[in-house]
Amino acid sequence: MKFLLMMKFKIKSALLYLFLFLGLSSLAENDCFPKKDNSNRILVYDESDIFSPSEERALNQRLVQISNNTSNQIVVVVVNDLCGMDQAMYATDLGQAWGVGTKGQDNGIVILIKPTGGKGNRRTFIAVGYGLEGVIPDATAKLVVENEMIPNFKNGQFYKGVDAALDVLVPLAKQEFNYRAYGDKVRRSKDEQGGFMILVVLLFVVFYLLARISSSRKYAQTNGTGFWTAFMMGSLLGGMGGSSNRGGWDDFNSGGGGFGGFGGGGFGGGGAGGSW
Amino acid sequence: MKKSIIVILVLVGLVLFIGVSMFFKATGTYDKAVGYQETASQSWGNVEATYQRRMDLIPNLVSTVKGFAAQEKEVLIGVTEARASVGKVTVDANNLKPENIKAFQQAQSGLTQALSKLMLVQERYPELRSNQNFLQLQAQLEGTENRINVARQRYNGTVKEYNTFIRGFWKKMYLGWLAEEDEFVKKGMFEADKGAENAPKVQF
Repeated sequence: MKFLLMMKFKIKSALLYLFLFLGLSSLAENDCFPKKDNSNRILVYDESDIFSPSEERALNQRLVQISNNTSNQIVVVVVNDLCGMDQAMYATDLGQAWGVGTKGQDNGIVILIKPTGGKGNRRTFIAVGYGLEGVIPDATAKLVVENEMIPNFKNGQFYKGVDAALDVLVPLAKQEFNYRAYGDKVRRSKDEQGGFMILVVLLFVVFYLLARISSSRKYAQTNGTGFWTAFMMGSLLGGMGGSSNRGGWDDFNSGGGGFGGFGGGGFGGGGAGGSW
Repeated sequence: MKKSIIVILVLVGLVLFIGVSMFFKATGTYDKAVGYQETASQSWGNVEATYQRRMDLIPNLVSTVKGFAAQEKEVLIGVTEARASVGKVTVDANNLKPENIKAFQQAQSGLTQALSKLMLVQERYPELRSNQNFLQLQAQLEGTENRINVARQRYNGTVKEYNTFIRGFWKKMYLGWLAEEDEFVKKGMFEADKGAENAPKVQF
């Protein structure tokens, strides 16, 4: 009996070691992912330093705000090496392992960028959580990759590319507009690229000038200065007011922001990617 | 006299104790094995769903390609035939034996190859390549292949856990007491596609 008991213990401890070993080896597999920040403030992981510190801060702040305001969670991950996985698998696994998005809603997005390697080996992927697959179908994710991200990435403008992608993905995820509308927009802008933009800019300038002129007229009448003086003053003051507003306050806000951590969202391979 | 009674009582108590604790261990092991089994079956359901998704895409894809490249009869028929033969090989979630999984994988990889040939057709037809409908289907197909990979990998993970669990000496014994003959048998896993490196590369 004693012998049997002993044996049982031995086997038990052997099993324990086995499980420990299995646990460790599965950890080792995840070594490939960046270290997840547990202070729950970081949604940008830039291993390759493609963003400047201020860009990284701005991007992180935007993502934290998205997470706080909409509960959709978007993470930007930049790595030098995919550890032999293809970009789709890497981004999906990372999203699943970290639990990006909310449990039950599965409303996370992982934007993966691998900017290293030769031409055609630099890769990117937008992994879309289960819950968002309906509002961001693969074909739409593909359009975003090809129209917003890769053209900018080719010029080394990573921040601009990610920012433009977010401009599309965030309203889609919030269901503010339909993915078909985005598809139409891309098609239209391809058809009449230059002309339309010039028209918009021209209209903008005209409206701006009209507004300026009318307000300057008022100012000149009430203060007794000449019209042109008022016009010039208006431009100066207007410019200064705008820039000072943009600078200080947002930075100040970013200090307190947190997003409460990743919520356990699930990923099943949705999304699309590309290479450049 | 008294001494021997005590010894016997202690022995009986010990045997009872061991017997009862083994019984609880056995039921616990059985419950766990059922849990692993259930997880594996569920992940098999996901594998089937993703493959089904690919099947559903094919008629649309074939008719779109046909619209621009009707003369590629061989390729188009190849896809349709591969699809039909895949439909014949289904595996029940309660019967995930290695040989069944192998047959399933073989049939599906035939369809994968036929599809990659179909996608290569676009290189010869610029109009097809720039057709919006085709581009959309292409993105969907690519997304579906990604989902298949993910589902397969997760299925392999759950089966690995299950297979490891039922293999232990004591667990085998416990399960032998409580389970039916074929209730807990080894399940099959997907292997890395052998032809994957040699298959024509599809440029998406």
